[in-house]
Amino acid sequence: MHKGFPGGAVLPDDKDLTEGSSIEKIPRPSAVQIVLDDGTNSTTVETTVRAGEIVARGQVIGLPQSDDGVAVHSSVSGQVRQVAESILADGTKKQSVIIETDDEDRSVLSQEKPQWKVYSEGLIKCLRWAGITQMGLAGGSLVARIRKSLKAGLRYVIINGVESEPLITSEVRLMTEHADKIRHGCELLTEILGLAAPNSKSSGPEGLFALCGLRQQAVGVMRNALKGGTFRLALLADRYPQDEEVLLTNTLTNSKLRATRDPADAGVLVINVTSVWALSQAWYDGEPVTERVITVAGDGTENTGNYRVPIGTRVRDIIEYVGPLPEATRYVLGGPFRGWSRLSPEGVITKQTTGLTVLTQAHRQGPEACIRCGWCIDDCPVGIDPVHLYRLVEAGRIDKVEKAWIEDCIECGLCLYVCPTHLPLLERIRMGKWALRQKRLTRPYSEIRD
Amino acid sequence: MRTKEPVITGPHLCSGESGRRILWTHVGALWLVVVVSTAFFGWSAPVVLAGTVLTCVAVDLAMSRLVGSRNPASLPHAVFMGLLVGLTLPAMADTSWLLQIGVVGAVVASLVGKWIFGGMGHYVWHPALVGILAIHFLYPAPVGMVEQDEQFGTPRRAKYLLLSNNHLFVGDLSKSQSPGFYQFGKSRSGLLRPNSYQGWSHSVPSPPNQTWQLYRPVQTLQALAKGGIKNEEHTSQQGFSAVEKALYLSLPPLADAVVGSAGGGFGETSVVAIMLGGLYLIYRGYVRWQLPVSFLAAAAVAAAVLPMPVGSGGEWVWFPGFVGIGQPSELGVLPMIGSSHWFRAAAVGLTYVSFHLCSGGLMLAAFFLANDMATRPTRLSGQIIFGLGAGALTIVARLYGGWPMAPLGAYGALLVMNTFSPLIDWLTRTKPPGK
Ligand code: SF4
Ligand code: SF4
Repeated sequence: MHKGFPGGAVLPDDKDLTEGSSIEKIPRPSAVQIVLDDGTNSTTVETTVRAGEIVARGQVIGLPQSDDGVAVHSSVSGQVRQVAESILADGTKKQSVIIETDDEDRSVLSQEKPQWKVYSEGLIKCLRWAGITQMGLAGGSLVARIRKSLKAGLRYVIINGVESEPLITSEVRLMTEHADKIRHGCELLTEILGLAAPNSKSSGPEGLFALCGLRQQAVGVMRNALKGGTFRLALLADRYPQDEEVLLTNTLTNSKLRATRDPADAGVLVINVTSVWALSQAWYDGEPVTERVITVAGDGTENTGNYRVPIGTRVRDIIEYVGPLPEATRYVLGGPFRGWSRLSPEGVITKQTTGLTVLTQAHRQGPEACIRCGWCIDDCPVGIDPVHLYRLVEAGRIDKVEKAWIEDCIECGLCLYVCPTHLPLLERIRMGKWALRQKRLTRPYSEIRD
Repeated sequence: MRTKEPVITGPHLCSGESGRRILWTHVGALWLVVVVSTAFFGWSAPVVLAGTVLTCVAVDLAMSRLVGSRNPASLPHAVFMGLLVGLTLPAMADTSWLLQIGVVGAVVASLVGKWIFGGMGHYVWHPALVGILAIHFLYPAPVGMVEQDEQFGTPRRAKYLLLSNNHLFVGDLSKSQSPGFYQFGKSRSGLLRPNSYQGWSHSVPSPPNQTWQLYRPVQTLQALAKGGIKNEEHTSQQGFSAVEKALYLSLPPLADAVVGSAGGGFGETSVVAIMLGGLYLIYRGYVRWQLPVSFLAAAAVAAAVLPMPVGSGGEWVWFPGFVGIGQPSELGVLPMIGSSHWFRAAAVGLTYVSFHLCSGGLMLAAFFLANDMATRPTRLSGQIIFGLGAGALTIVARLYGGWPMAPLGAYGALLVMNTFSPLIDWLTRTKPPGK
């Protein structure tokens, strides 16, 4: 038995459909749309290019405005057509740059290969230069995580290769095929962050490499790759959603962090495998993030598999390449649980997109009345009562949702998945969270003080 | 690119379960119980069941229309409730009378039990139990206890639990024929072989309208607890104690109680059929095994440890047969641990506990009534508390009675525990990590 956490569920994840298919490169798309996202949510990114400008692959097109932000690079060589605001898959608006690709594969990579010093500021500089964020479901800034965890006193470095989202195997494939690069990244982290060797008496943060125990192939490869290194392989149970950072931290370090907390504040640095791979590429090969591996899955396409695509590739181009089925109606950016979907292939691949799930139909039917089976409560990985929250939000009792731990919901979607009456539990919880935030914003000053 | 297209949030997959599927599975799990009840109690079983089910469905359709609710799970739910009301009715010869009672029970179950609270998922007490409770108060005789015979003087119509004369006759019914506690002890051989005993698989040779009285085994145990069974035969240690007498002479063989050819409600008697249905529900994941197991375990432990009054002089037996308080020689209680009768005492005690578990609706309550989704606590720990409470209360009700719903045994206990479900839920609520 591998380690797990209370709640959660073992899902029929169908990962074997794509687990064995090696990473394939898709032909250069005719245009890409790169979202100017520096990894931090709040700040804007300054555009360094204008419409009509010729850019090369790896050229910086956006500069971060904040300390924790990272640079944004062009992922193709071509001509900038437009800098415009666009709506992302999750409904938020961001500036993005649309670049039409040309046939000359110009690249700035060979010209300058920066060198960094082997200490934590050097690491942060490298990440900011190469545009490396947390390249997984959680997203967000890796730089901020490193800064916070160093400030709190680094205790653990956890490399997150669990990937418990059903259907998605991009990180499993990445580990299977690029174990070397990931090993180099691990060694680099060991050196910079001063990790203690396993079984040694020396003090220092501990390194853990978390994997799902069920993914035999990746486990085998990584076990070999990590031999003699400081990172200890931690095999976890096949439970969704084990890859959420807080759950992962709680499982591996036997702590009890609240889901609202960032593990980095407790001195636990969680890094996605894809980010480690990108770090290794940036540090040793001088390559910024211009590509990532995604899994194309779902019943709406025949050619499921893992593809290496430039950042900013439009979903439409990918669909065209893998061959669309006429029945496809939903294009989910991300996995089938935590992904956001549109009814048309309008989305673009960003740094944190792990996959593209194409579905033919809505699996959810109209809601019926709750029959109080209690499954949502059983399976909720953070132990809150989703149906109670649902009722509170339906009744408009926003004053009560905070006491019912609405903020602890990690939006894993499990409650909605198991609910036999298909109640929109998670939607209402999101609404409740939003309403709570609004309420906080408008609270009088006297209330905020205490 | 700036279309006003809806964003659809995850999860985009569903587990494929639905309320309809869950409740039809519950109905399906009862089919063996229905078949077995037909086999043992004749055609009156399906007739009465059809009556209760159709009534529940009719009321349900009417109420859904009236309220404007369109829950597709409500129909199988009504079927299930109708079946449960019908299966707990005592098997009697007078089908038309029983049908009448069943229909009234089904109407109450559906209307008062379910729809007054707002339909599926909103009710506080199990609708079928509400129906049973109504039957109990409206028609005291059929589910009533033995002493009401003496109370009313003359036997009332449909008073007894019967094997009617068109049923398939299986099992050793000799000891179930008539309780007649008062006549025991004179001629044991006569009791063990009544003239009418035909052995296995014979239909009852009877003049028209003749029926056999079948008592619920649990009624005998209750009579025992009330001092209704006395030991007149002996004072020596070779003789039977009062407990043994009840077990050996007044009760059907334990095997019969397990198979189901014993007295009781239509669907209450066959432990095997109920267990198979319940195990199927557990296998499908709709019922957690901890609930029925804690229910039965609490009942077994309570039956074993609760002292039972025997005789009229205020004497008690503890783990029947082991320890007696009072005057053992008079009561015929077996000697204490350590004597040569230890094994015999243990056998008596275990048989006694087994009879408590295998009769009187305890099995049906544990496997089919306790785990109604709306009236049980939702969390596992709460369900275990719920099961333990219901099991212990059942035995308390059987041995001591004293509260209004006590004659209903397991059903009364469940009604009480249903009331506490929300409280148990609140007590067992979980908190997110770190809080
Ligand atoms: S979405 Fe939120 S409430 Fe629902 S199971 Fe996941 S954490 Fe619990
Ligand atoms: S899973 Fe759905 S039906 Fe079951 S208790 Fe939760 S909300 Fe109600």
